Amino acid sequence: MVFKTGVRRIVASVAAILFLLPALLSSCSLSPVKRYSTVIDGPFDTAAQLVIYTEKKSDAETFFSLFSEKLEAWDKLADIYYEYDGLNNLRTLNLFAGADPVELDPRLLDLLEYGLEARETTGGRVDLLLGPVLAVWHEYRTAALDDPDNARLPTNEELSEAAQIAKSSSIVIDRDAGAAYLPIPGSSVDVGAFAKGYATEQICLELEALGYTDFAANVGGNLRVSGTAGSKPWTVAVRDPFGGGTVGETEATEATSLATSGSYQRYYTVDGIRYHHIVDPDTNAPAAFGWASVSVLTEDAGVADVLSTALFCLDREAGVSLLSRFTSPVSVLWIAESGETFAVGAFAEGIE
Amino acid sequence: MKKLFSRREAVLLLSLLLIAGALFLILFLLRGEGDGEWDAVIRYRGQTVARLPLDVDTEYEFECEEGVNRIVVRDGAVLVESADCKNQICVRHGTLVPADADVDFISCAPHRLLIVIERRGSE
Repeated sequence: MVFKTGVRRIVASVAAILFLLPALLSSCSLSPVKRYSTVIDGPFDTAAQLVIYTEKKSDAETFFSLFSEKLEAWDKLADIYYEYDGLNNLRTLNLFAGADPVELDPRLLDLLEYGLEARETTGGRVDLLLGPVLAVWHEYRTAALDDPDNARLPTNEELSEAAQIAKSSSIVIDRDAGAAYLPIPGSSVDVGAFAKGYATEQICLELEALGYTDFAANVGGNLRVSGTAGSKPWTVAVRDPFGGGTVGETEATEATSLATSGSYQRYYTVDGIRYHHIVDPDTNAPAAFGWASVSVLTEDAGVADVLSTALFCLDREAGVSLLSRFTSPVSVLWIAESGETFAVGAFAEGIE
Repeated sequence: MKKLFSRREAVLLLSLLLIAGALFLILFLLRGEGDGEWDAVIRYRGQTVARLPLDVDTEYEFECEEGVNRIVVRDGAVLVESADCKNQICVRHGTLVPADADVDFISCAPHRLLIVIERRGSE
């Protein structure tokens, strides 16, 4: 007989346990959590990439369709270029400037209030009422992209006229009536500096409230993560504005959002000089503080978006002093056109 | 002194232990990330049109009614080398590498083209 005596039984049991151990361990380590990903084509004139680590494929699919639905809704609401049937959006608000208040979705009123707050906090660096000036640049930039050989710059008259309207303009938000109003004719809002980040944050908060976690959403460069990447922390990195790769790789443990404002992707060229899309409200021209890009890593995707734009329109010293107004931890990576980098917070540890 | 195990028992125990060890090793390897098994996935209007292995240097000319993007895989990274789109944002984006899989992608909105990194066999 095999394993007859007591001692032998014990030894045999130990052997059996050793044999079973891998199976037990594997059921923990080879957890049923899988990575699911999708790409949403189109919103905010760009795309969104979603990744979620979850057990059930159906959960991932529901997450993707909820996210997609919400993002599409935000895209239409915040649109200043297109009208949609039966929907009042920011284009409608702008069209009725100087004429009538426009009833708006409560989410849009939140966005506009957020914009006014951002304007206040950033000392006007991020100004939702700069619409008329941004519209002039937008017109010349898109014309140049269609016909690069005849690229032109806006005239000083056009810009100062637009700036004058912008400076005198205001926005009235009437919560009781569920409406907003631009009293000055010709004034307009432009939420391009923060709408993507703000919308991303709101969508992620809503989905987290539904119990979704362990996901990452990159909405046209606004990155927001939640939980972990399956079993390990999310790693985020900043794109190198001069080359292909990335710099400033950092684990997103507490901070969950990363936004970058840069002059290296959206620009047009006139007589060999690049004119990028981030306009300095003081000069009404592309911000010229010598930055190739400014990246902000912080908890809230809206804050990251606002701050990256604001810091792009400030020198380093003024930028650092702006940061002191924020209570939540903020990490910043400034990359100068000269190639020099400056970092605070988590980026300071990742950069040599 | 009486022997603890017979020869037969010893063989049985030893083989059990060996199998257990082998199982450990296999599971450990399966669990590991594994290198080199990544594809650049080219998507047009929401549909996958090509998967380019990142471990094979290659050039891929993507043509659609909107225009042409010249996509290059080199040294484990993918980039759009040139394109006839208006804004050139896809070209200016630079490279994508496996570390970008979860958090970055290349988008050419005018051509409705997207490039993402995915693990091979994930679809």
